[in-house]
Amino acid sequence: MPPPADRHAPLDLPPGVVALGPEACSAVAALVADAERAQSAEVGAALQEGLRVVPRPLRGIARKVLTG
Amino acid sequence: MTGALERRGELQRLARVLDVQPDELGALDGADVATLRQLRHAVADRLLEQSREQFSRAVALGDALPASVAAKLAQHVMGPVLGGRAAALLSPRKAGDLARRLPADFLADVACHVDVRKVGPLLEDIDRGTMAEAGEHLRRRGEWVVLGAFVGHVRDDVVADLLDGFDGEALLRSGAVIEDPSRIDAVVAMLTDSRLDGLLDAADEHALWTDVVSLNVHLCDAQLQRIASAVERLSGPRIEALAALLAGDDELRAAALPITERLSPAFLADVAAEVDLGRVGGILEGIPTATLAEAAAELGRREAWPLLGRLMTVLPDDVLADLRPDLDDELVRRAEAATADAGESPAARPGDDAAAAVTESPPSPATRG
Repeated sequence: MPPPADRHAPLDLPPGVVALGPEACSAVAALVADAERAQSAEVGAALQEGLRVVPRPLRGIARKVLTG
Repeated sequence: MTGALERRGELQRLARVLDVQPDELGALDGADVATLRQLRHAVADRLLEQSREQFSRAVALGDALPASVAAKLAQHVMGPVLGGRAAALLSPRKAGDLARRLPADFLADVACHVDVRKVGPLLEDIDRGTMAEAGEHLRRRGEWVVLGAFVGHVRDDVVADLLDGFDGEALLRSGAVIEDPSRIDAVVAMLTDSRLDGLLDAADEHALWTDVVSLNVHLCDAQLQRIASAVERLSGPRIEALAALLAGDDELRAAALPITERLSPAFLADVAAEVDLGRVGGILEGIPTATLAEAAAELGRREAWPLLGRLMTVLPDDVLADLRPDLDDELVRRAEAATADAGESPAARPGDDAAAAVTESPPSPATRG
């Protein structure tokens, strides 16, 4: 199994996108970066919100699972 | 033709992964379908890896909590986008359990955001009723691309349940964007003849003949023959509209050949009687000479000499030359006599000045290239 890609490195674009030129690559990279930022913010918020939805007696377990 | 539809579907899928509108992907205008698909897979993998740790914790939390609370978390906290992405990390048992507890409209929302490559194995544990209900929501919303993606990953009985609720338009719109083309033949085989008729009626009503034709390349002989038979059952005005469309669109006509070459001589003879051949003669291109000869013979058996004369008038020169040896001399003589009586000449084409002056027919069909 190949090693996992560095999640902070720019996405390796498919050759067909690279062939479209640097302008297209920049535009696609910007869209991917936007999607990553949006997901990161949404996931963080969802996990915080998750604790509020869990019934009070279970929150300790929930916090432990979520924070590791 | 097929590529354009596939590309449209692929752009919609990529836009959804990136959470943008398809028209924001102008930078990819020159990219082909395979490139768009590779990019979508790469972005989906990237987004999953980026949040894998948090998604794993959310899934672990779901495992630690009572199923009803886990379902509430999935619906109200994770929501369809994150829930759809995190679904890739669920076990099949958990996925089936959650699906039973979540409303169908939410499952439909989730379906719009899952990576079917990752959740395909999970679908086995979701019951047919739940899948059909979620599919019905997707149909009502016109989520053809999403439905088209799932067809490759669900069992035939589930597909059959889904299709039961689809009208002709829904069948056609979702069928044209099935992501796994190897499934198209099996899906068409599931449709009864009357459902195929509904599909073709929808193609006529919603100007979707391109979508029908795009399916051709994925169909085996048996299903192509069934579609040709369904074309033969179309009503006269629909036949004429289809014939006119094919006559005026070289690309569509070429793509439709697998169907038109399977049309029966008797049907072609009927068409000759019902439509203005001068207007739609172009559809005769590509139909095997033997079939045309048999259609001509059928018109002869019906003693429909003027119709036979008109058929001979609109046939391209090379087809007519091929056809002559197969036609009975008496048949040709009578057809020419009938045409002459009507003031037309089989030797002239409707586009020729002399013929045009007499028949006032629209331009002649394109000659074969």
